[in-house]
Amino acid sequence: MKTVLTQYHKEEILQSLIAGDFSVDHEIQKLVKEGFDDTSSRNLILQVLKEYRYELFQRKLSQQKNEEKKKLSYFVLLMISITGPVFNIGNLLWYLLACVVAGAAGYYGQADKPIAGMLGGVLLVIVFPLTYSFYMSGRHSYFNVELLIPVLMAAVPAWLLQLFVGKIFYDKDEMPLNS
Amino acid sequence: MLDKHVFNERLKRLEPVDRKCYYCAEQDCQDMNDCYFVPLFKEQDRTNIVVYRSVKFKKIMVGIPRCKICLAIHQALGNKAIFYAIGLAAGIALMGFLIFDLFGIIMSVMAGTITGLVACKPIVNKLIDKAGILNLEEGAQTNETVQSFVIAGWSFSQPAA
Repeated sequence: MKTVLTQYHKEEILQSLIAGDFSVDHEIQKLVKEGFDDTSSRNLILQVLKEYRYELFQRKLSQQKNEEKKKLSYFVLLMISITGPVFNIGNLLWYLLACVVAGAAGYYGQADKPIAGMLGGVLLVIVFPLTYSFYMSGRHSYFNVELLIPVLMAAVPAWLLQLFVGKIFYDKDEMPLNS
Repeated sequence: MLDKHVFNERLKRLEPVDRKCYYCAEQDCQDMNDCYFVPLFKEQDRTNIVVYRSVKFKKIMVGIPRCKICLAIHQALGNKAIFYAIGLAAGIALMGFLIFDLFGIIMSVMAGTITGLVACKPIVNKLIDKAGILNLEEGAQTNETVQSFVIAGWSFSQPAA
C-alpha cells in the first residue's frame, strides 16, 4: 500500500485544480487505482491543497508587502529630493546624505530590481535641484502643488535610468533557457 | 471560505468554530474574547486627483483561537516592548541633547520617536519568539480562513489615501 505522493501526483492534482476540472472523488479514485488507501489518499489530496493554498497566500502576501514598500520608498524619495532645494540648503553634505537615503529607499522599494531602484533614487536627488531651479527661475512665489512639475521633470530621467539598468541586469532571467 | 468561522452579527466579526490555540497548539481557547481578532481590509474605491485623495474600503475581523496563557504572554510582552521602545527613543533623544545644538535636539527627538515607533513591533515579536509561542501575525498567517481572504485580495494593512 502506497502512502506518499510523488511530485508527479502532486503536479497532476494541482493541474486539474488550475484547469478547473478538479473533483476530490475523481482524484481519490485515481490514487486508489495506483495503490493508495481510500482514507489516506483523501488526506494526501487535502494536504496538497493546503500546501498550494499556503504557497498562493505567501505569494500574495509578498506581493502586497512589495507594493507597500514601493509606496513608502516613493514618499521618502519625494521628501528627501525636495527638502534641499525648497529649504535652500546649500551644504554639500546634505546632498550626499540625501543621495545615501534616496539610494537606500530606492533599493528597499524595488524589491525585484534593487540596484536599478537605488540608481534611480540617487539620480532623482541629483537632478531635482536642476529642474527646480529651471522651473522656479525668475519667480518669487508658487503654489505647493506646482512642486510636482519639477519633481516629474526629474523623475523622467530617474525612471529611464531605472528602466535601462533593470533591462540590462534583471531581465536576463526571463529569457527562455534554449535561446 | 467560512466553514471554520461563524459570523457574529452583533459584534460584526468572524468567530472561530475550532477552539485549538493557534499560538501554542496545546491549550484550547475557553473564552471567545481571548481570541485575537485580526483586521483584514479590502479596497473598494480610490480617488486620486492631484489635490484630492480618498479611499473607501471594507473591513472584517477574523478570530484566531488563543488560549488564556498565550493571551497573557502577548499582553505582558506587548507592554514590555513598549517600555523598551520608549527607553530606546529616550536614549537617542538624550544623545542628541548631549552632542548637538538646538537643531540637533529637535532632530534627535524626531529620530528617537520614529525609531521607537518602528522598533516596537520587532521588539515585541522577538520577545514572543523567545517565549516559545507564535506572535500575533504568525498565528494569523497560519489560519486557513485568513489565508483564503488574503488570496481573495484582502490585506493585513489598512489602505491609505
